[in-house]
Amino acid sequence: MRMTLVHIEGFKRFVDFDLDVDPRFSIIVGDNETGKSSLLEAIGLVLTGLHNGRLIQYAIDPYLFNAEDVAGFFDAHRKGEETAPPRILIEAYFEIDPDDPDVVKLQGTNNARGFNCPGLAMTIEVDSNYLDELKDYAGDESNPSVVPVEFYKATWRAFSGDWVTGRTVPFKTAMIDTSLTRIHRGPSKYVSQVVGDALSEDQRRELSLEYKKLRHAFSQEPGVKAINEHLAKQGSSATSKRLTIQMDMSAKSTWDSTITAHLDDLPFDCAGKGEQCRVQLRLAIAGSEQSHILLIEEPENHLSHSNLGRLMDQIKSDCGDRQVVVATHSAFVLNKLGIDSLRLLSHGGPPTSLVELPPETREYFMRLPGYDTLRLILARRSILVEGPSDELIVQRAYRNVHGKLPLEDGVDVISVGSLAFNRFLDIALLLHLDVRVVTDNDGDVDALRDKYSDYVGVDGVAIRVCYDLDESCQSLEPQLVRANSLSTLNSILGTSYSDEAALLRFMVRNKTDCALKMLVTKRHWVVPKYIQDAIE
Amino acid sequence: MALVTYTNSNAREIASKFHHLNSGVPSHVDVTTWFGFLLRECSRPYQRSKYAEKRIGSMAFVNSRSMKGVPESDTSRYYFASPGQIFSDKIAQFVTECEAASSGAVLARLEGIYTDIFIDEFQDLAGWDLEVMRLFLESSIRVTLVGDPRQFIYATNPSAKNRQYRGTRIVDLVEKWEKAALCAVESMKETHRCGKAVCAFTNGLWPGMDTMEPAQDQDESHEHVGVLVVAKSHVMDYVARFEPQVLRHDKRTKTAGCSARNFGQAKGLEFDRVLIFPTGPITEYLRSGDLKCVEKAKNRLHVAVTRARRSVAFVFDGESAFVPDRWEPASGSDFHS
Repeated sequence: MRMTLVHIEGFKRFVDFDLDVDPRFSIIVGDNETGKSSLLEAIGLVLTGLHNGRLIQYAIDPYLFNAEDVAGFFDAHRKGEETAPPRILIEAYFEIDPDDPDVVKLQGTNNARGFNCPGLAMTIEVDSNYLDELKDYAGDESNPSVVPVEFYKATWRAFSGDWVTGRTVPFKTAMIDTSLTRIHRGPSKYVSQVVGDALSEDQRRELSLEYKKLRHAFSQEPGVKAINEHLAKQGSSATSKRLTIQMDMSAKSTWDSTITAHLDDLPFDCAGKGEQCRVQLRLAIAGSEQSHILLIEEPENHLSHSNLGRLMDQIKSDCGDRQVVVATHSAFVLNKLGIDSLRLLSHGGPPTSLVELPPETREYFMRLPGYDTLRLILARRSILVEGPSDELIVQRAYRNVHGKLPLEDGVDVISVGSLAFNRFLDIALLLHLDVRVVTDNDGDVDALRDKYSDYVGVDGVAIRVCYDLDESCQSLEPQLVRANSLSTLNSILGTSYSDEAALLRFMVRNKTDCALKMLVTKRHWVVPKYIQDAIE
Repeated sequence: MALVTYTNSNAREIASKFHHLNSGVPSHVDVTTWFGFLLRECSRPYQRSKYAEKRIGSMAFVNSRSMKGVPESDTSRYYFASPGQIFSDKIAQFVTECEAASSGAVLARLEGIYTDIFIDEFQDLAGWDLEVMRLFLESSIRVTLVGDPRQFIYATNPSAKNRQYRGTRIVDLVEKWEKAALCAVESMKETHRCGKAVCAFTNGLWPGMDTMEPAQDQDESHEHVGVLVVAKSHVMDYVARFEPQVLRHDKRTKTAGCSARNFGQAKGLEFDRVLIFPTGPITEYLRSGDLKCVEKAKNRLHVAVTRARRSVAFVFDGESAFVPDRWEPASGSDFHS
């Protein structure tokens, strides 16, 4: 059972959206507000029929609908134009598996693409019985422009056209939620759901039966019996019937609302977040031999770095061939799970993936977890520099020109070292990122041209490599000395060298200190031309 | 596997047999009606290859041919009563069209789901249903068709297709399939339900056809077994004494205030004892033994008598040419023989 594609229409910020799903890890990366969480929400919804742990039929919310769709509908309707009411469609496409009859059952061509494959589709649309009511509602200008969900219904079907239920879907989906916000909604509801998922049908039945016996036994306890006799003697003016107390035997009182999981005798809720996450994951994985799809939302939240590392290791080692979809901000997570599984969400556009990266570049990022790949990917523009001193100088130069620090403009200055420039540029090339490179010429301009020839001047790619053409001025320090007078530099650095050669030797020996002083000084100094180029 | 039968009550009967033998229908078994099966597993999955307008949600049941004069090429009018509502006489044809238009995807999907399909009450299939059946037989799925041509009462549809194989003539089609090596025919003579007397009675209705014989495992040691007549004036006593299932041809037959089932509705069901309120022609047949009287009614009469595990009683005054036994309350003994 493998998901291959998710198609979304009209859900939250997705108007018409496709996500190619990786056979193993799909890592959803995107800036805030690009819809990472919404995407996981949509996937969870179509795979489980649940939204926030409730059956979607009873949990249709006006804010699930795409805001533009909704506004467009009300506008058009009030102008008297006939328009289709807002509608949500979420489809999950699966690989054909002719050997599993339960999967073949989900097969058909009833999907937006018309593919003949197994799949699930969740549709949230106006109930045709209420079409007139919906039109009346929309026509009345005094009503708020909010989808009247009272007139809506959710239908969950397979691509065969047949209905499905949580029972007929032949695999389980586990949502690993590191924030565990859902726990606050009810007493351990979420925990019991996770535990429940891990049990077989027989075990669940057994548990339910034992719980029923226990409740019954309660009323047979001598103490309770005595109380009931007492109550019976008291009588009641309100009723002639006999009043007793019992444990609630009705269906609403089930084991999963009262039983809670313990870790080493500590209630689950009281365990540390890292431990809770690992337990959730372990339960989800151990839950059944059926194939699982794991959805993990921002595992870096609420977890310390070392806990995150352990969780990621566990995911990699224990998930077997289960499919994992992770939404994350963390370059650490990304690099740990494999940069080729990245799916980058951007505002409005289709998601991009890095599968086409050259293999050696992929290897490079995989071997360096924690590397700031995401900074590059998420920045509006990046300036790549050789080292920390270049970074400081560029920061100051930027402030000189624009009156503020680069980050305030969404520009990230990343110190990567000249050897890694090309790796970063491979990503930039693929994702059409806006990247400037500030580099030393190392005394060989031709070699430099050669090194970057694949990246510069490519159509539609905003990569600029900035360096100085003077081969006698090989690196940052000589460039600074050449651009500024001896007295300016002496005054900024608090030195009193009488010749440039001596000053240069000092600067090269104290690169970072000097750069820091250049950054914080109130004195004006001249930024070398090639750095200036990168900033404008 | 799928167990497919024609009526809802038969599907329920099969499901309840499962509950009896196995404490429930196992998850790998689908018990479904023929139309449900055509709709869910054969039409919808690839409906878009023929009809993408709307999900086929339901069926419009018709007793005669729908939309005569509308050409097949006008898909939405020819097949559909309203968007998404397919005519019951056309659904099987729609399935064969989908199979062709989807290059075999319909059957390929079924082959992925089912190793076995069992079709009950096969004799009721007609028209395009038989073409669908042929597709099943040609597939890699093991198909078992079970039917009693004598029990043909309802045709699943009134289509003109395969008209020559209606009713008991379905035997001809089965023989043709056997010749084409699509199936092997096995004639089952033994009944595990009915005793000697009932078999003899119904064999009398079908001269020239294979006879029906009681299986060896029949327990005939119960009191009051066989076929007999009860005078109208003794009906209430008889009902009070034996609590039979009362059967009638249709609601026009008066049943002396007893709650009754029609012959057709009783199909697929079984009871210990039945009490039959005969129609005029059946009464005439009981009296004279002349088969011409029941030429039209004998399928239903066959169904009615073969519902009984132990006894069949006819409400009948006078002398029968071939049912000598008669029950009378005053006799002290319950059964004369």
